[in-house]
Amino acid sequence: MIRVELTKQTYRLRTYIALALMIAIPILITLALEFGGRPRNRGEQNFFTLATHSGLNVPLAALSVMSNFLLVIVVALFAGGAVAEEAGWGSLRYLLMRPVARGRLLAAKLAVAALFTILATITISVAGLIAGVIAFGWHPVVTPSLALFSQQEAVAKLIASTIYVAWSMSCVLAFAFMLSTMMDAPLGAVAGGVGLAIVSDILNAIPALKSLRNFMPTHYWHAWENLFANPASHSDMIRGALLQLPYIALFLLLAWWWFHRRDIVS
Amino acid sequence: MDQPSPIELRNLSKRYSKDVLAVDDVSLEVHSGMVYGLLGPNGAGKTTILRMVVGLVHPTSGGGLLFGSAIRAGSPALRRVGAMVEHPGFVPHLSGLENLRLYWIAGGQPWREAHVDEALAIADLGPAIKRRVRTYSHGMIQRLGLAQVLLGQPDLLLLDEPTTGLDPQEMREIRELIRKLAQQGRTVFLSSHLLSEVEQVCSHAAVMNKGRLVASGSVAQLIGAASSVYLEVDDVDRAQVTLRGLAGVQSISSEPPGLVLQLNGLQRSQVVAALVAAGIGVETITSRHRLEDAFLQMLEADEF
Repeated sequence: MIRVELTKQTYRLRTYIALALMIAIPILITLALEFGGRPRNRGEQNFFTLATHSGLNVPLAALSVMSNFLLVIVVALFAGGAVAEEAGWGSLRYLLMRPVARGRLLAAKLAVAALFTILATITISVAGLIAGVIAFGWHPVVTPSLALFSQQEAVAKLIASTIYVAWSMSCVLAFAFMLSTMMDAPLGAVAGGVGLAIVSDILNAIPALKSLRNFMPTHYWHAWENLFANPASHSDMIRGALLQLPYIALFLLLAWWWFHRRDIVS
Repeated sequence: MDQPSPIELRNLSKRYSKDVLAVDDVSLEVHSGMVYGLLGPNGAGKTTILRMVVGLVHPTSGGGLLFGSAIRAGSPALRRVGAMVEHPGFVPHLSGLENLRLYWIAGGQPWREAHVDEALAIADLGPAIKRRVRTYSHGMIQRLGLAQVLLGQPDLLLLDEPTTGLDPQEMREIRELIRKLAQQGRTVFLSSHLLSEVEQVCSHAAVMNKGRLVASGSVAQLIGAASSVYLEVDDVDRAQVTLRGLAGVQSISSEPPGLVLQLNGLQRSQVVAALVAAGIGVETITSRHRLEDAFLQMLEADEF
């Protein structure tokens, strides 16, 4: 079943465009840093201002900026279209007239959406790393907290960061996927997934909400940057990773429940 | 031990909302080898019944059996079913052939077990089978849908308005195909709002109106023992006198420019022979749309 779903998603122009964007943006960032003039190191340091010190900083800068919005859109696109698109095409009806359990079909679609989420996140890191190293060389990494990491250490932390960013997207993935089981129009499910991230970000920015902000699914999205602090901290990353679990469980349970009781009339 | 019937529905009902009762307490049985037509106007509940049989829609009450197994989503009995409910649906960015392959292997069966050549012969799409489905015409999609249904050479075919949107030539081909499949011993359960279609291809039928089963039985039973013919002659008055003297003519009514006869056991050829023997020229003699008459009578009766 996974093979069937993988084939449907792989041979699509939309998938290629989404992944091409994941390659193009880190390259654009590199070109902008290379030809737009090197940033002067005044005021607050971040992965952008330090990017020209080492090519290894570029994927970190790309992850930092793309995980806020562009990656969210791509993840919502993969998850939001999973069921709703098939309903729109009318092919969902035919899949469900086969001796296939609905739960199994959902699991296959979810697995493929998750696979493309991971692939999109890895693509950002790999494209950024290659473009960055070509442009700025293979040097030790200077981080915003002015810690210095060897190339090997930096690569290990980059891998951990990529995994964390991909995992952080799981609440968006689960929410868009849940909406996808409820709608025949994929656009609504995609917009819902992006909307979740936006609303969470807005609420997270309101100090009056105090500790409630800690429960916003996007609250710990940038916790991976603490890996590059001196000393490095993992506690927020662990909280962030665990925070995704109740959201995933809730959204996927609702998706499963809804899809099992749904009448397929489209 | 007797083989279970392909379809057995018992008191099946489906309510979509407080105001919409799509199917109301329908019971019917489709035996092996039957070509069973669900006949009714749009909105009669025909498609909802097909959807419930294949597990797309959950019944509100009642239930049914598919080859002896309870009807439900993902039932193993669906392996013996080829269904086309509403318009065929395909993944538009994949080719016709790839769509067939994915549909087949999604059911957990290896592609080599599919009857691809036979299905492709029915689809008759030629090299277009390797083109993306989004480039297909309506007729091509309909034929690909039929090919998909027949990939597994199923014991039971469920076809929802199978000739909708096709041109007359394609309609004829599809009807011939249904007859051919029935001759091979397959059971066909189809819905249609075309009376002529049901009359031409079905051995049995159920008439539906507003979600309820109005009548069911063999097509011959539904039509009634009497059959009617329309004829045009060169002398209507003399023809009426001659026909009144013939045993087997139940009634004669005028339908200018001709006459409508209700026959009981009398062949059309015998009517023609009697008229010719009386020196009356017969210009036209055709069967009436018999099921149409029966159908309209049933619906009218159902309104009261």
